[in-house]
Amino acid sequence: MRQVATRQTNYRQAVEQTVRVRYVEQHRHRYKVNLTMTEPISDEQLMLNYGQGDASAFEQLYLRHKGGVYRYFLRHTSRAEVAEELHQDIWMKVINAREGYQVSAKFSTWLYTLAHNHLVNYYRKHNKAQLLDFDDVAEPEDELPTLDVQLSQGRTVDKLLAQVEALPSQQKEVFLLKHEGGFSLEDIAELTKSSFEATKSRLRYAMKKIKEGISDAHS
Amino acid sequence: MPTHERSDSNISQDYQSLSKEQPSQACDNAILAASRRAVSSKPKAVNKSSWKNMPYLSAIAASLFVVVVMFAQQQQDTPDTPAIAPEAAVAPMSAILVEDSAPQLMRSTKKMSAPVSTVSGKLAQQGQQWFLITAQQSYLLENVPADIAQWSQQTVSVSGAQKMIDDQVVILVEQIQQP
Repeated sequence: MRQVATRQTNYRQAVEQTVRVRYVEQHRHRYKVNLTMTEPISDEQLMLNYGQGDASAFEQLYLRHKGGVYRYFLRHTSRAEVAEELHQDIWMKVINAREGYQVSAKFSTWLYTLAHNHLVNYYRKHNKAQLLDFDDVAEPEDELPTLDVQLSQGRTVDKLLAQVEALPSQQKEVFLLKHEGGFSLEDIAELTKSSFEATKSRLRYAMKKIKEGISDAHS
Repeated sequence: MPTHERSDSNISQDYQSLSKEQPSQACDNAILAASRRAVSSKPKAVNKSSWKNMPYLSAIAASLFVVVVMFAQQQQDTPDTPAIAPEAAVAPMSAILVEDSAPQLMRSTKKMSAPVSTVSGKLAQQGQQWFLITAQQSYLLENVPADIAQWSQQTVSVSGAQKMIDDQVVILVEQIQQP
Protein backbone atom coordinates (compact mmCIF):
# COMPACT_ATOMS: atom_id res chain seq x y z
CA MET A 1 0.00 0.00 0.00
CA ARG A 2 2.82 2.34 0.94
CA GLN A 3 4.62 1.48 -2.26
CA VAL A 4 1.54 2.32 -4.29
CA ALA A 5 1.13 5.59 -2.48
CA THR A 6 4.77 6.42 -3.08
CA ARG A 7 4.49 5.57 -6.75
CA GLN A 8 1.37 7.69 -7.04
CA THR A 9 3.05 10.58 -5.29
CA ASN A 10 6.10 10.32 -7.49
CA TYR A 11 3.95 10.17 -10.58
CA ARG A 12 1.95 13.21 -9.52
CA GLN A 13 5.12 15.14 -8.77
CA ALA A 14 6.55 14.21 -12.13
CA VAL A 15 3.38 15.37 -13.89
CA GLU A 16 3.37 18.63 -11.97
CA GLN A 17 7.00 19.22 -12.83
CA THR A 18 6.31 18.55 -16.49
CA VAL A 19 3.39 20.95 -16.48
CA ARG A 20 5.50 23.61 -14.77
CA VAL A 21 8.33 23.23 -17.28
CA ARG A 22 5.96 23.39 -20.24
CA TYR A 23 4.22 26.46 -18.84
CA VAL A 24 7.53 28.21 -18.29
CA GLU A 25 8.75 27.37 -21.77
CA GLN A 26 5.57 28.57 -23.36
CA HIS A 27 5.57 31.83 -21.49
CA ARG A 28 9.27 32.45 -21.51
CA HIS A 29 8.83 35.33 -23.90
CA ARG A 30 6.55 37.04 -21.45
CA TYR A 31 8.56 36.56 -18.34
CA LYS A 32 12.21 36.88 -17.60
CA VAL A 33 12.66 33.32 -16.58
CA ASN A 34 16.00 31.88 -15.73
CA LEU A 35 15.55 28.27 -16.67
CA THR A 36 18.96 27.43 -15.32
CA MET A 37 17.61 27.41 -11.81
CA THR A 38 20.87 26.03 -10.43
CA GLU A 39 22.77 29.27 -11.10
CA PRO A 40 22.52 31.52 -8.08
CA ILE A 41 22.97 35.25 -8.33
CA SER A 42 26.58 36.21 -7.70
CA ASP A 43 27.63 38.06 -4.58
CA GLU A 44 28.71 41.01 -6.68
CA GLN A 45 25.32 41.24 -8.38
CA LEU A 46 23.53 40.98 -5.05
CA MET A 47 25.58 43.85 -3.69
CA LEU A 48 24.87 45.93 -6.75
CA ASN A 49 21.18 45.14 -6.42
CA TYR A 50 21.29 46.18 -2.81
CA GLY A 51 22.90 49.44 -3.87
CA GLN A 52 19.86 49.96 -6.09
CA GLY A 53 17.56 49.54 -3.13
CA ASP A 54 16.80 45.83 -3.07
CA ALA A 55 16.84 44.96 0.62
CA SER A 56 16.25 41.28 -0.06
CA ALA A 57 19.54 41.16 -1.97
CA PHE A 58 21.39 42.17 1.17
CA GLU A 59 19.56 39.52 3.13
CA GLN A 60 20.76 36.84 0.73
CA LEU A 61 24.28 38.18 0.91
CA TYR A 62 24.20 38.25 4.68
CA LEU A 63 22.90 34.71 4.97
CA ARG A 64 25.68 33.47 2.70
CA HIS A 65 28.55 35.06 4.56
CA LYS A 66 27.44 35.72 8.12
CA GLY A 67 28.72 32.42 9.50
CA GLY A 68 32.18 32.68 8.02
CA VAL A 69 32.69 36.28 9.04
CA TYR A 70 31.44 35.66 12.56
CA ARG A 71 33.63 32.62 13.06
CA TYR A 72 36.60 34.52 11.62
CA PHE A 73 36.26 37.05 14.42
CA LEU A 74 35.38 34.38 16.96
CA ARG A 75 38.50 32.33 16.33
CA HIS A 76 40.69 35.42 16.51
CA THR A 77 39.20 36.95 19.63
CA SER A 78 37.88 33.78 21.31
CA ARG A 79 35.06 35.85 22.79
CA ALA A 80 31.55 35.62 21.40
CA GLU A 81 30.52 39.09 22.51
CA VAL A 82 33.56 40.71 20.92
CA ALA A 83 33.12 38.65 17.79
CA GLU A 84 29.51 39.79 17.49
CA GLU A 85 30.49 43.41 17.97
CA LEU A 86 33.13 43.21 15.25
CA HIS A 87 30.76 41.20 13.07
CA GLN A 88 28.07 43.87 13.35
CA ASP A 89 30.60 46.64 12.63
CA ILE A 90 31.64 44.97 9.42
CA TRP A 91 28.13 44.52 8.10
CA MET A 92 27.31 48.14 8.91
CA LYS A 93 30.30 49.07 6.78
CA VAL A 94 28.88 46.95 3.99
CA ILE A 95 25.50 48.62 4.34
CA ASN A 96 27.02 52.09 4.28
CA ALA A 97 29.15 51.26 1.25
CA ARG A 98 26.23 50.02 -0.83
CA GLU A 99 25.84 53.08 -3.07
CA GLY A 100 29.50 53.47 -3.87
CA TYR A 101 30.18 49.78 -4.32
CA GLN A 102 31.97 48.89 -7.54
CA VAL A 103 32.95 45.46 -8.71
CA SER A 104 36.71 45.74 -8.70
CA ALA A 105 37.31 42.41 -6.97
CA LYS A 106 35.35 39.50 -5.62
CA PHE A 107 32.84 40.54 -3.00
CA SER A 108 34.23 38.01 -0.52
CA THR A 109 37.73 39.42 -0.98
CA TRP A 110 36.43 42.88 -0.24
CA LEU A 111 34.43 41.64 2.73
CA TYR A 112 37.29 39.79 4.38
CA THR A 113 39.67 42.66 3.68
CA LEU A 114 37.27 44.85 5.63
CA ALA A 115 37.19 42.22 8.36
CA HIS A 116 40.97 41.92 8.50
CA ASN A 117 41.50 45.67 8.67
CA HIS A 118 38.83 46.03 11.31
CA LEU A 119 40.47 43.33 13.38
CA VAL A 120 43.82 45.07 13.17
CA ASN A 121 42.21 48.28 14.33
CA TYR A 122 40.57 46.42 17.18
CA TYR A 123 43.91 45.02 18.31
CA ARG A 124 45.54 48.41 18.15
CA LYS A 125 42.70 50.03 20.03
CA HIS A 126 42.88 47.45 22.79
CA ASN A 127 46.66 47.51 22.97
CA LYS A 128 47.03 43.88 22.13
CA ALA A 129 50.60 42.70 21.85
CA GLN A 130 50.14 40.92 18.59
CA LEU A 131 49.02 42.48 15.39
CA LEU A 132 48.09 40.93 12.16
CA ASP A 133 50.99 42.53 10.40
CA PHE A 134 51.27 40.83 7.07
CA ASP A 135 53.88 43.24 5.82
CA ASP A 136 56.32 41.30 7.90
CA VAL A 137 56.88 38.07 6.02
CA ALA A 138 58.93 36.49 8.76
CA GLU A 139 59.12 32.76 9.06
CA PRO A 140 56.55 31.25 11.37
CA GLU A 141 59.20 30.43 14.03
CA ASP A 142 59.95 34.11 14.38
CA GLU A 143 56.40 35.14 15.05
CA LEU A 144 55.40 36.91 18.22
CA PRO A 145 54.04 34.89 21.14
CA THR A 146 50.46 33.79 20.77
CA LEU A 147 47.63 35.59 22.47
CA ASP A 148 46.20 34.08 25.57
CA VAL A 149 43.21 31.98 24.65
CA GLN A 150 40.24 33.28 26.61
CA LEU A 151 37.44 30.79 26.60
CA SER A 152 34.02 32.13 27.40
CA GLN A 153 32.34 30.28 30.22
CA GLY A 154 29.83 27.68 29.19
CA ARG A 155 31.19 27.26 25.68
CA THR A 156 32.28 23.81 24.77
CA VAL A 157 35.31 23.95 22.55
CA ASP A 158 36.51 20.93 20.75
CA LYS A 159 40.19 20.17 20.88
CA LEU A 160 40.52 20.97 17.19
CA LEU A 161 38.85 24.35 17.56
CA ALA A 162 40.98 25.08 20.59
CA GLN A 163 44.09 24.28 18.61
CA VAL A 164 42.98 26.63 15.84
CA GLU A 165 42.38 29.41 18.31
CA ALA A 166 45.81 28.81 19.82
CA LEU A 167 47.61 29.26 16.49
CA PRO A 168 49.91 32.24 15.97
CA SER A 169 47.86 35.05 14.48
CA GLN A 170 49.35 34.99 11.00
CA GLN A 171 48.92 31.24 10.72
CA LYS A 172 45.44 31.50 12.16
CA GLU A 173 44.60 34.20 9.63
CA VAL A 174 45.63 32.04 6.70
CA PHE A 175 43.86 29.03 8.15
CA LEU A 176 40.61 30.94 8.72
CA LEU A 177 40.62 32.65 5.35
CA LYS A 178 40.96 29.26 3.75
CA HIS A 179 38.42 27.39 5.86
CA GLU A 180 35.91 30.12 6.68
CA GLY A 181 36.32 32.41 3.69
CA GLY A 182 36.86 29.66 1.17
CA PHE A 183 39.80 31.44 -0.42
CA SER A 184 42.58 29.83 -2.39
CA LEU A 185 46.18 30.36 -1.35
CA GLU A 186 46.62 32.80 -4.21
CA ASP A 187 43.62 34.82 -3.04
CA ILE A 188 44.86 34.76 0.54
CA ALA A 189 48.29 35.95 -0.52
CA GLU A 190 46.70 38.84 -2.40
CA LEU A 191 44.32 39.68 0.42
CA THR A 192 47.03 39.66 3.07
CA LYS A 193 49.55 41.31 0.77
CA SER A 194 51.98 38.48 1.26
CA SER A 195 53.84 36.30 -1.12
CA PHE A 196 52.37 33.03 -2.22
CA GLU A 197 55.23 31.07 -0.69
CA ALA A 198 54.91 32.79 2.67
CA THR A 199 51.18 32.10 2.66
CA LYS A 200 51.72 28.49 1.77
CA SER A 201 54.29 28.12 4.55
CA ARG A 202 51.99 29.66 7.10
CA LEU A 203 49.21 27.26 6.21
CA ARG A 204 51.57 24.29 6.32
CA TYR A 205 52.85 25.24 9.76
CA ALA A 206 49.31 25.90 10.92
CA MET A 207 48.21 22.40 9.94
CA LYS A 208 51.30 20.94 11.52
CA LYS A 209 50.70 22.80 14.79
CA ILE A 210 47.09 21.68 14.85
CA LYS A 211 48.03 18.06 14.33
CA GLU A 212 50.73 18.25 16.99
CA GLY A 213 48.37 19.94 19.39
CA ILE A 214 45.72 17.32 18.89
CA SER A 215 48.27 14.54 19.28
CA ASP A 216 49.56 16.07 22.49
CA ALA A 217 46.03 16.33 23.78
CA HIS A 218 45.48 12.65 23.14
CA SER A 219 48.75 11.51 24.58
CA MET B 1 42.43 6.69 12.23
CA PRO B 2 44.62 7.93 15.10
CA THR B 3 44.47 11.63 15.48
CA HIS B 4 48.18 12.14 15.04
CA GLU B 5 48.12 10.46 11.67
CA ARG B 6 45.46 12.76 10.29
CA SER B 7 46.16 14.34 6.95
CA ASP B 8 45.58 17.95 6.15
CA SER B 9 42.36 17.11 4.40
CA ASN B 10 41.11 15.29 7.47
CA ILE B 11 41.91 18.31 9.58
CA SER B 12 40.07 20.50 7.13
CA GLN B 13 37.04 18.24 7.05
CA ASP B 14 36.95 17.93 10.82
CA TYR B 15 37.21 21.67 11.19
CA GLN B 16 34.40 22.27 8.71
CA SER B 17 32.14 19.85 10.53
CA LEU B 18 32.86 21.36 13.92
CA SER B 19 32.91 25.03 13.02
CA LYS B 20 29.22 25.80 13.05
CA GLU B 21 28.88 28.81 15.31
CA GLN B 22 26.57 31.55 14.10
CA PRO B 23 25.88 35.05 15.37
CA SER B 24 22.90 35.37 17.65
CA GLN B 25 19.41 35.97 16.34
CA ALA B 26 19.40 39.39 17.95
CA CYS B 27 22.56 40.29 16.06
CA ASP B 28 21.04 39.06 12.79
CA ASN B 29 17.86 41.02 13.38
CA ALA B 30 19.75 44.19 14.15
CA ILE B 31 21.86 43.95 11.01
CA LEU B 32 18.96 43.09 8.73
CA ALA B 33 16.82 45.85 10.20
CA ALA B 34 19.61 48.33 9.61
CA SER B 35 19.97 47.14 6.02
CA ARG B 36 16.27 47.66 5.38
CA ARG B 37 16.24 51.05 7.06
CA ALA B 38 19.16 52.17 4.94
CA VAL B 39 17.36 51.62 1.64
CA SER B 40 13.89 52.63 2.74
CA SER B 41 14.56 55.82 4.67
CA LYS B 42 16.97 57.61 2.43
CA PRO B 43 15.46 58.89 -0.78
CA LYS B 44 17.41 57.77 -3.75
CA ALA B 45 19.62 60.60 -4.89
CA VAL B 46 19.21 61.69 -8.45
CA ASN B 47 22.47 61.31 -10.19
CA LYS B 48 23.68 60.93 -13.68
CA SER B 49 23.23 57.22 -13.64
CA SER B 50 19.49 57.62 -12.86
CA TRP B 51 18.89 58.50 -16.51
CA LYS B 52 20.29 55.12 -17.45
CA ASN B 53 17.56 53.51 -15.40
CA MET B 54 14.83 55.36 -17.30
CA PRO B 55 15.36 54.60 -20.96
CA TYR B 56 11.75 55.35 -21.76
CA LEU B 57 12.36 59.04 -21.07
CA SER B 58 14.86 59.29 -23.86
CA ALA B 59 12.42 57.46 -26.14
CA ILE B 60 9.69 59.95 -25.29
CA ALA B 61 12.05 62.86 -25.87
CA ALA B 62 13.09 61.45 -29.23
CA SER B 63 9.46 60.95 -30.25
CA LEU B 64 8.57 64.51 -29.30
CA PHE B 65 11.54 65.79 -31.25
CA VAL B 66 10.43 63.91 -34.35
CA VAL B 67 6.88 65.23 -34.01
CA VAL B 68 8.12 68.80 -33.65
CA VAL B 69 10.38 68.47 -36.67
CA MET B 70 7.61 66.99 -38.77
CA PHE B 71 5.23 69.73 -37.69
CA ALA B 72 7.78 72.40 -38.52
CA GLN B 73 8.40 70.80 -41.87
CA GLN B 74 4.71 70.76 -42.61
CA GLN B 75 4.49 74.40 -41.73
CA GLN B 76 7.32 75.07 -44.12
CA ASP B 77 5.67 73.00 -46.79
CA THR B 78 2.52 75.06 -46.59
CA PRO B 79 3.34 77.57 -49.32
CA ASP B 80 3.32 81.29 -49.11
CA THR B 81 1.60 82.18 -52.25
CA PRO B 82 4.34 84.09 -54.01
CA ALA B 83 7.22 82.04 -52.76
CA ILE B 84 6.84 78.76 -54.53
CA ALA B 85 9.79 78.14 -56.78
CA PRO B 86 7.82 76.52 -59.56
CA GLU B 87 5.78 79.64 -59.77
CA ALA B 88 8.85 81.70 -60.50
CA ALA B 89 9.90 79.19 -63.08
CA VAL B 90 6.48 79.01 -64.52
CA ALA B 91 5.42 82.61 -64.48
CA PRO B 92 7.19 83.91 -67.57
CA MET B 93 6.32 80.88 -69.65
CA SER B 94 3.62 81.39 -72.16
CA ALA B 95 1.90 78.11 -71.40
CA ILE B 96 0.79 79.50 -68.08
CA LEU B 97 -0.99 82.42 -69.69
CA VAL B 98 -3.76 80.38 -71.20
CA GLU B 99 -6.28 80.91 -68.54
CA ASP B 100 -8.71 82.26 -70.99
CA SER B 101 -8.28 79.58 -73.57
CA ALA B 102 -10.24 76.82 -71.92
CA PRO B 103 -13.97 76.94 -71.69
CA GLN B 104 -14.95 77.97 -68.21
CA LEU B 105 -18.16 77.88 -66.38
CA MET B 106 -17.14 80.49 -63.89
CA ARG B 107 -13.95 82.18 -62.93
CA SER B 108 -13.04 83.26 -59.47
CA THR B 109 -9.61 84.19 -58.30
CA LYS B 110 -9.46 85.68 -54.90
CA LYS B 111 -12.97 85.90 -53.78
CA MET B 112 -14.72 83.32 -51.67
CA SER B 113 -15.97 80.13 -53.09
CA ALA B 114 -18.40 80.23 -55.94
CA PRO B 115 -20.00 77.36 -57.71
CA VAL B 116 -17.81 75.13 -59.77
CA SER B 117 -15.23 77.00 -61.75
CA THR B 118 -12.51 76.03 -64.11
CA VAL B 119 -9.02 77.35 -63.86
CA SER B 120 -6.15 76.63 -66.19
CA GLY B 121 -2.56 76.55 -65.20
CA LYS B 122 0.37 74.29 -64.70
CA LEU B 123 0.24 71.43 -62.25
CA ALA B 124 3.07 71.28 -59.76
CA GLN B 125 3.63 69.02 -56.81
CA GLN B 126 5.23 70.08 -53.58
CA GLY B 127 5.57 67.35 -51.03
CA GLN B 128 2.24 65.59 -50.84
CA GLN B 129 0.27 68.58 -52.14
CA TRP B 130 -0.65 69.58 -55.65
CA PHE B 131 -0.88 73.13 -56.88
CA LEU B 132 -2.25 74.76 -59.97
CA ILE B 133 0.04 77.58 -60.90
CA THR B 134 -1.33 80.51 -62.84
CA ALA B 135 0.10 83.89 -63.67
CA GLN B 136 -1.85 85.48 -60.85
CA GLN B 137 -1.58 82.94 -58.11
CA SER B 138 -1.36 79.34 -57.14
CA TYR B 139 -4.28 77.19 -56.14
CA LEU B 140 -4.04 74.36 -53.68
CA LEU B 141 -5.82 71.32 -55.05
CA GLU B 142 -7.81 69.04 -52.83
CA ASN B 143 -9.71 65.89 -53.62
CA VAL B 144 -7.23 65.21 -56.38
CA PRO B 145 -7.68 62.07 -58.46
CA ALA B 146 -5.32 59.19 -57.93
CA ASP B 147 -3.81 59.55 -61.39
CA ILE B 148 -3.02 63.24 -61.08
CA ALA B 149 0.66 62.51 -61.38
CA GLN B 150 0.23 61.99 -65.10
CA TRP B 151 -0.54 65.70 -65.41
CA SER B 152 2.51 66.80 -63.45
CA GLN B 153 4.22 69.86 -64.90
CA GLN B 154 1.59 70.06 -67.63
CA THR B 155 -0.84 72.79 -68.39
CA VAL B 156 -4.31 71.63 -67.49
CA SER B 157 -7.74 72.93 -66.71
CA VAL B 158 -9.02 72.12 -63.27
CA SER B 159 -12.70 72.28 -62.52
CA GLY B 160 -14.02 72.44 -59.01
CA ALA B 161 -15.45 74.57 -56.28
CA GLN B 162 -13.16 77.08 -54.72
CA LYS B 163 -12.78 78.12 -51.13
CA MET B 164 -10.44 80.14 -49.00
CA ILE B 165 -8.48 78.52 -46.26
CA ASP B 166 -6.03 80.74 -44.39
CA ASP B 167 -5.50 83.07 -47.31
CA GLN B 168 -4.97 80.13 -49.65
CA VAL B 169 -7.38 79.51 -52.47
CA VAL B 170 -8.29 75.88 -52.55
CA ILE B 171 -9.97 74.05 -55.39
CA LEU B 172 -11.95 70.92 -54.61
CA VAL B 173 -11.11 69.10 -57.78
CA GLU B 174 -13.94 67.61 -59.73
CA GLN B 175 -12.24 67.25 -63.05
CA ILE B 176 -8.87 67.70 -64.65
CA GLN B 177 -8.53 67.91 -68.37
CA GLN B 178 -6.28 69.28 -70.97
CA PRO B 179 -7.14 72.77 -71.97
